[in-house]
Parts: sequence; structure tokens; C-alpha cells
Amino acid sequence: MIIASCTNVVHAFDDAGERVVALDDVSVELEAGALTLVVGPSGSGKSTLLAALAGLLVPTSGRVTLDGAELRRLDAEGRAAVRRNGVGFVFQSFHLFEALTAQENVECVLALQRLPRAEGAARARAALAQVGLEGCEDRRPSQLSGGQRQRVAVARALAVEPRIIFGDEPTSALDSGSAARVLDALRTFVETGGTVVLATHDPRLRAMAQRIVTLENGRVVADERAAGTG
Amino acid sequence: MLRVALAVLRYDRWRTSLLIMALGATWALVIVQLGLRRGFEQSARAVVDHVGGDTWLVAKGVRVLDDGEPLPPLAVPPACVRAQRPVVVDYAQVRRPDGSLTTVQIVGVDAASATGVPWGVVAGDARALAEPMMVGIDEADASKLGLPDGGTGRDVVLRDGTKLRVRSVSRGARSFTQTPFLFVDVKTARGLAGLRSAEATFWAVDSTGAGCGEEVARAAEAVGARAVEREELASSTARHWVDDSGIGTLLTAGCVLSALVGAAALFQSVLTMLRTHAKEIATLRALGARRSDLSAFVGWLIGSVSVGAGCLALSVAIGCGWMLRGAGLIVVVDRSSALAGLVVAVISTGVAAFWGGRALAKIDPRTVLE
Repeated sequence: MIIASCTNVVHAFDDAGERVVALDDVSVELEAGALTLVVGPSGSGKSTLLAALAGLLVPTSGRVTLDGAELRRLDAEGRAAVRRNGVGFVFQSFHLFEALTAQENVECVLALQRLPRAEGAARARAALAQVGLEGCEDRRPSQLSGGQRQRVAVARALAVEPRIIFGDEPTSALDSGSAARVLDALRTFVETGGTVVLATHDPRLRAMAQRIVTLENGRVVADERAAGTG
Repeated sequence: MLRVALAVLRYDRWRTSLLIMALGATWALVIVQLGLRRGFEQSARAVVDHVGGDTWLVAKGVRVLDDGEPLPPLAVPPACVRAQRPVVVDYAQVRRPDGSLTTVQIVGVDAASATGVPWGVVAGDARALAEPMMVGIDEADASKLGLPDGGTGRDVVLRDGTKLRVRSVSRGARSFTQTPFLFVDVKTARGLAGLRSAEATFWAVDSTGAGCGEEVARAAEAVGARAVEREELASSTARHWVDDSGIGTLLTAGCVLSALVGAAALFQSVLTMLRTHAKEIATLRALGARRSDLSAFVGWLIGSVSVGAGCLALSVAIGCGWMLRGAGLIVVVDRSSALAGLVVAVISTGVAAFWGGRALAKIDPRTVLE
């Protein structure tokens, strides 16, 4: 089953009068229940592809689908609704609310789904436990290590019960131990039928990926699948 | 979103406190300056309001209580006139114990008929002013009159050596110009002002019903006077002192300026808050927050600050009013001043929220990937 796809996607923009082509006729179909890496040198278009697949930007041309919805046909609110109801994110720099505790950071996203407060609190606690952060619920991000912060971000992504999680360099700023715990959580999510798409430079992730899409200058130059997959 | 907004404000507690204090101070300035203006107006028209009456007889050309001229009563009062009460307003000079002189304003009414003048009596007895050469003063004017202990039973000495015995002391019975009032019986006032026994500088006319004004006006014409509605005399006196002196314009301009400074401070702070939390807001948007969720977040941020600043402003204004009362100034902090402050707060908050909303719309969720 295809959960996200882009077909003949081009994304270009002007940068100081110069036309930059970030994605150049990219077509990719992502199967559900797999961990896909998007790799490539800096400036190759990894983050732009992730943004396009997640509906964070509307590409200049081409077709993008996510979770059954054709994103170009939706306005910003419609795309937000698709993300709210089926997409999780994990970012390199976590993007947690410094003012909120770990528990509140997770609850805050569940509040967007209009979950009753008690249910949101229970689900947030369960998600934090899932990433090994029991006992850290009341700590603020500044009171957590980098690895713990990233696990809060993973818990935030998992708590919304997404069908797909997009990650942008989720382990780049982490030591090996912390990276392993984050990857464990993501691997478990994939094993239970979830889909993960990670843009990364981190070679540690290659071993666990089912598919690796390589970009250069906005073009797909390689699309490798691990043995035994699709 | 309220929880997130409150958490953000709590987290940024120093910035939040400073903003609430700055905003509260500017809004308090608005309320205090409006209250001062209304206090000045009250002071300027206080004698007319306290004497009461439906229509006042004034000399032709006189528009202000302070400019009275000797007038006889209506020679043939219309049947609708219930009473005409003499009011004498004049200036004199008091010699203080150190020999220096200070100008005072004599206000003479029929003390025996309890006209409401003097008002705010806190010591002595206003009815005792019906006796000759008795005077009522305001406690805040006591030291100006050379009576630092301010008690009743002391004498106020006029320039020509005439002594007036203090029999009542008021609180809050001061003139707009801070010239001390000397409240006396009309007979005493006539003597001090050199008026004949049937004369007064004004006559307050009480009538039995509406529609008497025209008849009183004709009767006034017959004695060379003019009849004006009480409210007209009170308002023109207030306008003369408060608006024509420039103080009203100054206070109004101060209000507007304070409101603008407050609005600018709030607007700037909202922009700073949005910039500071832009990544978090972009993250919320990326995670699927509706525009209404983000607007609610900004709305709660601004609203919470505004409510805090509004409460502070009202407390500060009431405190200022209380302190200034000690200095003899009246700051009217009542429902209408608070409402004016609320209007300023709501407009400032609305403008800040509008621009905050616009700034919010420019926060691009894709920046979370940068």
C-alpha cells in the first residue's frame, strides 16, 4: 500500500535573482510499513522532498499524495488536517516548547486533535513510557539531555498515533546510545505497521532501512531496497 | 492553547512582568489623566452643583461663576418659581500670621436653609455658619490660610483685619484653581463683598416644574439679568477653567499619548514574543495546528497580559487617586473612568492581536526543517 508519493515533482524558487531548482522531476512512492531513508549531500533537496511529502510546502509542479489525499487540491488548513490526523514529525533540533514539561509537550499536540484532557494526559504518559522516559514527565526540555529531548519529540510523534512519521536528521545531534534508543522507538513503530521517512546523513541508520533514496542536485540518483523488501 | 500560552508567559516571567508593568503604567496614566480631568471639572462646577436650583440668574455677559456682579432678585417672580436663593461669590485676601497675603474665594449661601454648601464637612457644624462672621474651610487649605493645625475655633483674618471664626472643616471642597474657599452665610458674604442687603452675585431659582425657564428669563430681563439653566452655568464654568485654560487639552493629549505608547509597547512585545516562539509556532503548524488554534494561542498570550495590565492599571489609578487626594487633587476613578480605560485596553489589545495575527500568518511551517 502506498502511503505517500510524489510524481514528477519540481520545486524551484528565486534566491537573490537566481533560480534554484530544489527538486527536479522527482517521483517516489513510499510503501506503508517501511523505514525509508532519504540521503544525499547538503543542498541535494532532502528536506525539500520531506516538506513536499508532508504538505509543508506546495511544489512548483507535480503531484503529491499523503495518506490518500492529493495535497495540491487542499488549502493550507486542509493540508494541516491531513498532518494532524496521520503524521508525526521528529526534527534535528527537537522543536519542543521550552516552557512546557515533557508531558505537556506531548499533550499539547494531542490537544490539537481535540482529545479529552484526561485521555490526552494518559496517552502522553504512555508515549513517554514507550520511549523510556517514565519519571521525566515533569521535566522541562532544559532539564533533559539531547537524547532525552529527542525521545520526547519521538513520543510526541508517536502519541498522535500517526500512520507516517517524517524525521529530519533525527539522530545527527545525538551520541550513539541516545541515537540507538531513538531508532529503537522508530523501529518498533515500523514493526507495528507504521511508516518512517528520514532525511539523514547519519550512516548508522542505513542498516535498519528497508529503502534508501539518494538525491543529488534535486534529482533521484539511486533508489535501493534492502534484500527481501518490495 | 490557554495552558500553552500561560506556560509560555510563566516561563518568560521577567519579560511578562515587565510588559504587564509597562502596559499597566501607561493604562493607569490614561485612567488617572481622565480622572484628573473629570476631577477638575467637578471642582470647577462644584459650587453650582451643590447649591442646585433649576435656573440661575446671572449678570448679562457672565458665563462663569467666578465673574458674578451684584444682582437684585426677580422683582415679580412667576408663579412657577418656588424660591430664589441668593449666592454670593467674590474674592478677598487673607493675611496669614507671618503677614503675607493669600487670595481666597468667598462663597456665601443661606446657611440656615441647608443648601448643601459647604459639602464634605468632617469637623464642626455647617449650620453654625448661619451666625455672623463664621466660616467653613477645607482641611487641605488650612495651612494656606495660616492655620496649620486646621482646627475649628481658630480665626481667619482678612486683609482689613476682619476676623472670621472657623466653624466647619470640609474634605474635598476645593476650587479648581486651589484658591481656598471661605464658606460663609450670605449675610456675612454681602458684608465682605460690599453688597446691599437684597443683592447677590447670583440667584439660584427653584421652580415647580418644567417650562418655567421662559417665564424666569422674561422676569430676569426685567431686572437687567439673564436666566441660564443650572447645567449650562456649571458646564460653562467647567469649560472655562478646564478647557480654556489648556489643562483639559493637556490631559486629553496625555491620555492619547499614553494610550499610543501602551499600544506600541503591546504591539512590539507581541511581535517579540512571536519571533521568540516562531519555531514553536511553526512546529505546531507543522504538526497540524489549525489557524484558529494558533490565533487562540496568540490571543491568550495577549489577552492574559492585557488582563494583568488592566488589573494593575486600575489598582495603580485607585492608589494614585488616593495619594493625590491627600494633595488636594480629585481623581475621579469610577465606573466611567474604568470603562474608558477598558476601551483603551480593548482597542490596544485588538490592534496588537490583529497585527499579531498577521505576523502569525507569515510564520511558515516549513521552517521547522531548516
